[in-house]
Amino acid sequence: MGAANARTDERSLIRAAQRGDSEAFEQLVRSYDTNVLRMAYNLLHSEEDARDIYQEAFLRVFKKLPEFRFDSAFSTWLYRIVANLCLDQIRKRKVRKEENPSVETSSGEVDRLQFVPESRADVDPQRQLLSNEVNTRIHEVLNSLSPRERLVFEMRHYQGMRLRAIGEALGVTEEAAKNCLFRATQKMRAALGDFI
Amino acid sequence: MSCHDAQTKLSFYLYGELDFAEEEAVEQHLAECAFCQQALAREKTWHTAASAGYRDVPLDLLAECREDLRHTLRAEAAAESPRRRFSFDWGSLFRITPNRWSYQLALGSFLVFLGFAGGRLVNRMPDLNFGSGPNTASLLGGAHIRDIQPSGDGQVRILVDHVDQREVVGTLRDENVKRWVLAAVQDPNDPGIRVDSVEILANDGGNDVRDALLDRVEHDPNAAVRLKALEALQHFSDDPVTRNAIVSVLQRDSEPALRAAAVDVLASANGKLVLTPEAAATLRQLARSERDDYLRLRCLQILQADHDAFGIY
Repeated sequence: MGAANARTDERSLIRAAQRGDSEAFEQLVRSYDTNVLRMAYNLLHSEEDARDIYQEAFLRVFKKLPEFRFDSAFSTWLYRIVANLCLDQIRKRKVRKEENPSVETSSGEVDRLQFVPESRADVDPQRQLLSNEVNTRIHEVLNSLSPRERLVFEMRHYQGMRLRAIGEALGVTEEAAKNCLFRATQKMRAALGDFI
Repeated sequence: MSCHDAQTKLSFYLYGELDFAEEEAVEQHLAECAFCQQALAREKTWHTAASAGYRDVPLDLLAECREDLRHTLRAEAAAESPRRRFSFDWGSLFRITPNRWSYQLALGSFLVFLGFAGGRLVNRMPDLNFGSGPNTASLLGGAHIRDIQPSGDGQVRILVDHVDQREVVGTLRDENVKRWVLAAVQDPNDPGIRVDSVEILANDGGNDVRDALLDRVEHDPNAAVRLKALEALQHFSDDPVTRNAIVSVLQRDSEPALRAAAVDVLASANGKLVLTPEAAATLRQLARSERDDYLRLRCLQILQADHDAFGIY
């Protein structure tokens, strides 16, 4: 399954969606929506906010798609929209200082630590405690990063995007994205130094 | 390269973001410096620890988002005038400006040709049932213009689908219905039809269904169809032929999301985590060599959940 085939296929889907083919648009959404939702969910720690980002991002894509002229990859264009929405939301939160130790879910507020992967019952309790502390520390560091550093770290470390694509999505140079990632990884290393 | 220089580049080294010369220099330094080898090991540890806290999206949230979006888009489409649906600004063609005479000439020729070609089309396709009303849809009857493009030599190319519709209704137990669905799953023109057909087949068993799904997983050019077929193969995850095909997807498919789904199918049977020795070996290999961070993490999570496999690892 060549990458070239996939690109051609995506191009024809985009063209069909631009002509108003709703099924083609849905296919296009489904090619990316899991990653978009995953990114928003992990950045914002809230199902409600992730849901809003998802809706807003794809609604913007729907409205702006007729103007899309293939000047960049579709994924870059989409991630630019998602990144801007996420950045706005993170900045709003920083202003409101509303980050708290619990996470909104459909079944109410749940302690953030419950999302840490379950440990097995037979694991050494001391090791488990250490693992929980490491996870708490990681969350603290992630929350202490600037919105842009947080986003770049998310896109590189969790989404596996290349720095060049991240730069394009954020409207900055690859070098600027690299600097952001450097600062984020330095903070992470410094914060976890005691544990590893 | 000094130890300081090497250590500032370790994260980028792990991310594969160094250029060739930098990577060579770091590797050369690491080969000679035990201190930096330890630093690399620490770097890997925090990378893995950071990945382990990553949360996957609840499946119901994704399904709800898709449903909400579908409703929103329907409302948008209904509110939008049909004219806006076209990305091409037809009005701009008719706006006469002094320096656009050549466009007007071309437009005139195009419209004359369109009328001519349309007339020819009517003569050749009497069964199109062109009516006399003003509505384009009623003019076309059962036909649908899939594409229309002027070509460089003054001609226009119109691609018309003329559909002879009939309805076939029944369950998959009806062999005739099943035959149609198995044919639809290979529809070369519409990935949407293929996805819907795969979804329908997902509720059915049998070797013919399995073979059709395997064929889509391995050969469909559309990633969404491949993913849907892979999910549908969950029912057949005990079957050796299916498992071999899934391993092949893991090795060859270019889409990380698809490979991640393949990992989940490979590690399950009847909805439970079941890791055969062969599957564990495949996951261990992926955990070491896969370039996609999420996929590596997913393999590690599954291996971690399976105590015996993790012990071997």
